[in-house]
Amino acid sequence: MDNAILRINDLSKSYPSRTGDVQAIEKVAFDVRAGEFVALVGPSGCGKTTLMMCVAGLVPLTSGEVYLRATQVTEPPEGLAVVFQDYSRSLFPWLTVASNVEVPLRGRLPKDEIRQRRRRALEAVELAGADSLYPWQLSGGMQQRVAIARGLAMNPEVLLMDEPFASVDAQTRATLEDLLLRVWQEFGSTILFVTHDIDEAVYLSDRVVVLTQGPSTVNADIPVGLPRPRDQITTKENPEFAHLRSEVFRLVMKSTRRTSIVGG
Amino acid sequence: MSTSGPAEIAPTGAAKRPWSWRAASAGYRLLMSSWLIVAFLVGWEIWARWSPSLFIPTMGTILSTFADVWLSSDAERLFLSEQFWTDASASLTRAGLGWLFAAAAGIVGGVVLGVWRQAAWFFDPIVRFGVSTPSTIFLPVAILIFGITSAMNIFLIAFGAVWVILINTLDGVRSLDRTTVLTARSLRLGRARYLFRIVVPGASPQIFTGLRVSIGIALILMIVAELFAASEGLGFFISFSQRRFNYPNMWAGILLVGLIGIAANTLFAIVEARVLRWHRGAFGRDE
Repeated sequence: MDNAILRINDLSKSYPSRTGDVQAIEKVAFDVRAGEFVALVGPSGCGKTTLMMCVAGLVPLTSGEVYLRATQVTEPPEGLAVVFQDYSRSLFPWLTVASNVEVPLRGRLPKDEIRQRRRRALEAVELAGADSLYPWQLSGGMQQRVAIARGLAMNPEVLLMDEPFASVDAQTRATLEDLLLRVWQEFGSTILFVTHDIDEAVYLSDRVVVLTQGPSTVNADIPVGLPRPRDQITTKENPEFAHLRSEVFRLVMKSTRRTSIVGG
Repeated sequence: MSTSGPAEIAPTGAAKRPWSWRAASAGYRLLMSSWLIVAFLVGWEIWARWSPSLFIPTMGTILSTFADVWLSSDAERLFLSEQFWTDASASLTRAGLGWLFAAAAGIVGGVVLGVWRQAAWFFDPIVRFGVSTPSTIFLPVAILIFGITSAMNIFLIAFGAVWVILINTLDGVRSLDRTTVLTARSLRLGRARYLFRIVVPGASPQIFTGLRVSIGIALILMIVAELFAASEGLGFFISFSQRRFNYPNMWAGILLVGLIGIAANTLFAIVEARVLRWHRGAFGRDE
């Protein structure tokens, strides 16, 4: 595919252990096209987060390649932003909300532009008044919105999100999902979104990539043709939604039964 | 809130208890923390009046001596005596300078060893040696190098106080949260920005622990060095008074050292509370 912005090519990752190497990820391959929203699902413990870290250039691969446009990813590349699951640790509690959003831009862009980007990003996540507050003065959902704003302000070509809504309550989660969809359209971002929540994956994405359990590999790549803009009620009432959801669920469950040597 | 935004965003905070309740609990706390010192002072006074020993003067004597020796009516001297400005300021300058050198070296060294693994291996034996050797042992060495000078005092204080700052900084840097470090890497912060915006603030709670402990060490070494090798300073004043059988003066000196210790720790606690406000907010308990 020529308009792939992110290309993952037979990515494998193994960890050394006392009983020999443990294969965590085996030859995972898929592409993400510009402007696409791709969800990555798999049973818990299948190495989704490890895969994400490899793609982000934060953890070395054992074999295979990751390309962002034409450049091979070997360390955190320019044009890639990561939103972590644990917002309380990925936001810096000693910096204000404004500084948290600005810190990756400082020293790279003129001051005016930094201020503009910060303002636009915080407005997009509906936190325009929170500049001078500290992350710990905000609720969990608000904190994750700050983390998203930081990612957006970096103007990334691809935004990687590692189970970003896994630590918030169900209602906040639905609100955040809709906010993310709005922001995605407003900024024209490309998003690779890791989740273990199948509903969430289907609801948000254009494509769902299903991983098997360890060593994980791509089990299926399912296009989601649900109309946009999506809505928590009407989209989820759509028979197509129910159908896709069951299909993904079946794939995930099937691979779960193939219990592996990991752990034990 | 600085800018006007559409959303109402207020910091979340714990509800305040009624002031009467808080006042009552503060009173209780005061009572609990002060009864022992009151009992001690009463016991001292009884002992001093009953015993014929000159070694233990009454509280009244000590306090009036304290006032005579350390205080004056001169506003230009901040109501402190000539003696204070000779001895106490000599001591405080030494302790302060020594402590500042220790803080600078300890923090810089701890951060460098914390982020640079090979350097840590290289310096490990020296750090272990420094941490586990009582610093007073180096007094003779310091005297050999510097003679009986203020520089010797400052050197000894800095050398003694640096280790606890260094290992605390080192430990704070090493135990930075993994997600925090990964986040910083993914943001592609430059080296300087990474060190000063992430590593140092992230380790600052531990750095402050080291600094706080080192204040006590600095004061101890200040006194020890002056007891043995100085011609002015509080330690010198105390041992000089003792050798002259001037016990009220000796006790007035000891009382002043105690007060200086309390003042230094209080001042430090205020600074710490201000600088680490985020840490209490993020991880601390509400009080």
